[in-house]
Amino acid sequence: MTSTNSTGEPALRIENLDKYYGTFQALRGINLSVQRGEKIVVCGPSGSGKSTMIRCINRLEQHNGGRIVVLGTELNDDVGNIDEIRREVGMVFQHFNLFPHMTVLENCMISPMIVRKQPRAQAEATARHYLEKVRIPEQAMKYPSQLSGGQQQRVAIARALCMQPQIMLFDEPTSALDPEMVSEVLDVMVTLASEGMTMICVTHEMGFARRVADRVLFMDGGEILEEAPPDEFFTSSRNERTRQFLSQVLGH
Amino acid sequence: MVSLLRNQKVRNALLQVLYVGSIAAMVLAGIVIARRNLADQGITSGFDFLFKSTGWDVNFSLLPATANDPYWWYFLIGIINTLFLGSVGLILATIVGTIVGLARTSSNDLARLLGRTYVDIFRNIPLILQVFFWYAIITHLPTPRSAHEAWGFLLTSRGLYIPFPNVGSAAFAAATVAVIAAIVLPAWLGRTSRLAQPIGQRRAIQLAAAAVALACAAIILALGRLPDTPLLDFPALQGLNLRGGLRIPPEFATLAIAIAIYGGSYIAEIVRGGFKSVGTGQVEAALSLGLSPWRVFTLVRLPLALRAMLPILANQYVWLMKATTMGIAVGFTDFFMIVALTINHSGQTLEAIGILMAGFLAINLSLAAVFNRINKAIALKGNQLRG
Amino acid sequence: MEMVVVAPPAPGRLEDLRRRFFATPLQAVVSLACLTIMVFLVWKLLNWAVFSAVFTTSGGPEACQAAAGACWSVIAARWRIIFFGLYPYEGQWRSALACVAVVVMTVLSCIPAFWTGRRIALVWGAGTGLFYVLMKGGVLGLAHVGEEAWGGLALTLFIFVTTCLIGFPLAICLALLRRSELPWISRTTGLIIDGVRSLPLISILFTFAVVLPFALPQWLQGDKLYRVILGSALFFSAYQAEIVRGGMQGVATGQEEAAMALGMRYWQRISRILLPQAMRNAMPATINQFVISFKETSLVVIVGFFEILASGNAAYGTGEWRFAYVEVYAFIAFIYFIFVFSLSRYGAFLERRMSVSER
Repeated sequence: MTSTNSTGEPALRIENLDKYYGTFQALRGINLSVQRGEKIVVCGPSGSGKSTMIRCINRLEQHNGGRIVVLGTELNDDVGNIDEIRREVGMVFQHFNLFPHMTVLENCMISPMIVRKQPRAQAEATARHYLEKVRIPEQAMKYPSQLSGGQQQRVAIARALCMQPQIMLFDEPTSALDPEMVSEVLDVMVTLASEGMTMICVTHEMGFARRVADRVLFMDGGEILEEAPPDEFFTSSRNERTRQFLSQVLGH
Repeated sequence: MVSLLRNQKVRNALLQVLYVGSIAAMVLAGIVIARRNLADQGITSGFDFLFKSTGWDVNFSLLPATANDPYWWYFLIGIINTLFLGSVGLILATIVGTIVGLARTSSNDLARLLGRTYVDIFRNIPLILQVFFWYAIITHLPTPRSAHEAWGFLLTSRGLYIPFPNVGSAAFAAATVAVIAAIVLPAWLGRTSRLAQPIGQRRAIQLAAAAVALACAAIILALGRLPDTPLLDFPALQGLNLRGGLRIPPEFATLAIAIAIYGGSYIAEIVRGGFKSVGTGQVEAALSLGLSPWRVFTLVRLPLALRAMLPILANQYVWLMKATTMGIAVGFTDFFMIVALTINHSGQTLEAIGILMAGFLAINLSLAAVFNRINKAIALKGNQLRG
Repeated sequence: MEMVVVAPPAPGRLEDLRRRFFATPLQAVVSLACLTIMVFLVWKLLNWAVFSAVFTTSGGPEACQAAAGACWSVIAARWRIIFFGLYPYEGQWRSALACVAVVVMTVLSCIPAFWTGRRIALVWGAGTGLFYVLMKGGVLGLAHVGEEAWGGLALTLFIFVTTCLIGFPLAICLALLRRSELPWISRTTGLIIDGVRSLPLISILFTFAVVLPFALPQWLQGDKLYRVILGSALFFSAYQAEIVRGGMQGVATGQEEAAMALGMRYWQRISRILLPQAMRNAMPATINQFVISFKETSLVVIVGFFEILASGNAAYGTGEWRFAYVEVYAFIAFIYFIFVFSLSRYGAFLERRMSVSER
């Protein structure tokens, strides 16, 4: 259970992952290995299990079969392991999920302070640093409801970064945004990627996938149907359903 | 061992066993201790006492009751008293609440002010204080000899005397059922899908049903009438006491009045909330169709408001039923007071408390079941009013 | 294009009145009926309570009884028993001060600046502590006064405050247990909550006061007053738990997920994320529950406590003031009214403010 951060161990290893909701099988035998610093984009039609998969990685969903090893720590029923993994894995949600009763700064400070037990001054310095990084330092004392959707999502990214995670999960971060705000969020994500963060993004932003991803995954029916570098994925996908999906997403 | 405690599944199982186990242990320990304490006082536990005679009297009962009756009969009397007082209070409170609630929603400023004053005063004074107040008022009424009299009603400190039809009690009960049927049957016929007739022709059937039920009531009353007596029995002074008519004991009258007035103030707010929830769009649509204000009220506002009110009203009615336990404050033998008296006289504490809980659970559940059915029957199909 | 707005001629006073109250024949009838009722009631009430009333004790009960209106002398003669019950005469200032402490505490907790868990706990802890020390004495040179001598308004307030103080945390625990993911915990808690809610308060008070001593070992029985307070707190918490749970359901599920994803443990999520939002959602209903439970403290009179209602009964029940029951009840009703009405107005104000800020 101690994290063996040897160079050989990938940041994330998923083996034969199964997930059921009652009798409905949401994930079927998923296999995935992500190296440190790798950027993965997951796409696929709605209900294909892509959100479920990344929510399994920090145990927002509990898997029923197979193994998940995050940073050398296996995700199982051990409570200590779950806490450890959640500290090292940041997540950004579709609907931001900022805490409405706290200011932007408090949103960013709370977790480092109570989970990592950082002193207040240090937590505030970190928070201001990351707010600067997502380009909204001036909004620190505002409440989330006073910000636009794009600003809120950038705060959510800063909040996750304040825990100084080693892996970042993005669950459709731009789907709930007005079109004119998508790019400001994507820009932040591109910057983050260029700094070497390990990222797994569920998104339909194919431009982003082309620019940033090392690999693109296509999921449907709870399975990974195709896994390829972006050039190959967009130009010569082998799978019929992938091509169909791509024509729908890129069609207009 | 340590790693076992860190396992989520083990932890969850352990927590559940600990929680349920400690609660069960506490309850069991209580029962064991209580049984031992009671046994020390020579009281054997068990439900045999239900068949022993009580040896004390109840001051109000719809069923025949003597001190020789067994405990189970007294519990039955208590439940019926509670239900009877509850129903009377509930009906009176609904009438008061509807009038005040309508005043609260009226377009007339004076009526609104009046309704609001009523609600503010009676809602903000505890029910038990109101019960004490009305009880003091009623018991300080003049003695029968100098009773207040109006339209055959007599107000005395020994109770309220009202004119009553001269019929046997069985016939009167049957007639009451018939009158209730006259109200319920048409409503049921209006809702049920068993009738194939279009709405217009249903009205005739509904009226006919009501008429038949009322006719039945009249016939029952005529047949059950005691021979050689006038139709209505008026209370009158005879010697030092009053004879004739129906005596409503001060305790019952107190509780019915207090529940009606206090409950009415709550129901008024529910009525107001119900009407407030009807969107102005619905009313405007109806007015623009050329319906008269009265028809808009009966066809649009009232039915929609009723649907919004009913779930809250159901809770309020359950509350009113429970409020009958105030009876013990003035000595009305409702279910709870019978239980308390049983504990006093027989010492069968655990059993009596168990019966108390079961009784109120049954009352609550059956009321809830009735209201759920009504709710389901009148619920709007689909969700055309949401969104 | 220019719009010409023609203002309607400003209606005169009379015209305005006519439109508001006599627009249609029906309106006119309703208005006149209401006006008659109001004038009649107000006149009767004023006449009884003010014009024909006796305010001084100089004439004694006899002169008072002879008067046509209210006999407020009974209050002047007996206010001490109504407010303080059987509390020793020379110590009654303590009882009065204790009531003031509770009122100050209530007012403070209505100010939004005090709405953090720690501050509320501090205010209520300090207020109740002060109340207890003042009433009970035995320290700081105050003479010891046992609970059995407490009475009147002070006892009413004490029961109310302790009910809330015990019931509120209990309610939060029950609400959390009921929404637990562990089926047996949530089911058992649900059974307890629904069971308590289906019983009338009187039967619970009676059980705790009279029946519980049988079921408890000697060393656990405690004073009857504290058993009754426990029963009343249990009843309060069963209702309040459902209100808190409603507030929790109003918090988006994403909030807890975000907290989990940030690595927060169960208690951290509950105390920092879930509860602050849930309590805010539940605020209006909570105040309403406080109002109800304040009114319900009066029920302890039935299990034999000398709170304000019982001391009112005593105030007119003995001797020469026997006729003055209406005045005594009116006075007690007025005291209740002040507390309950101001609290419920505050609740309504809060509800309006919150519904505005949500828009």
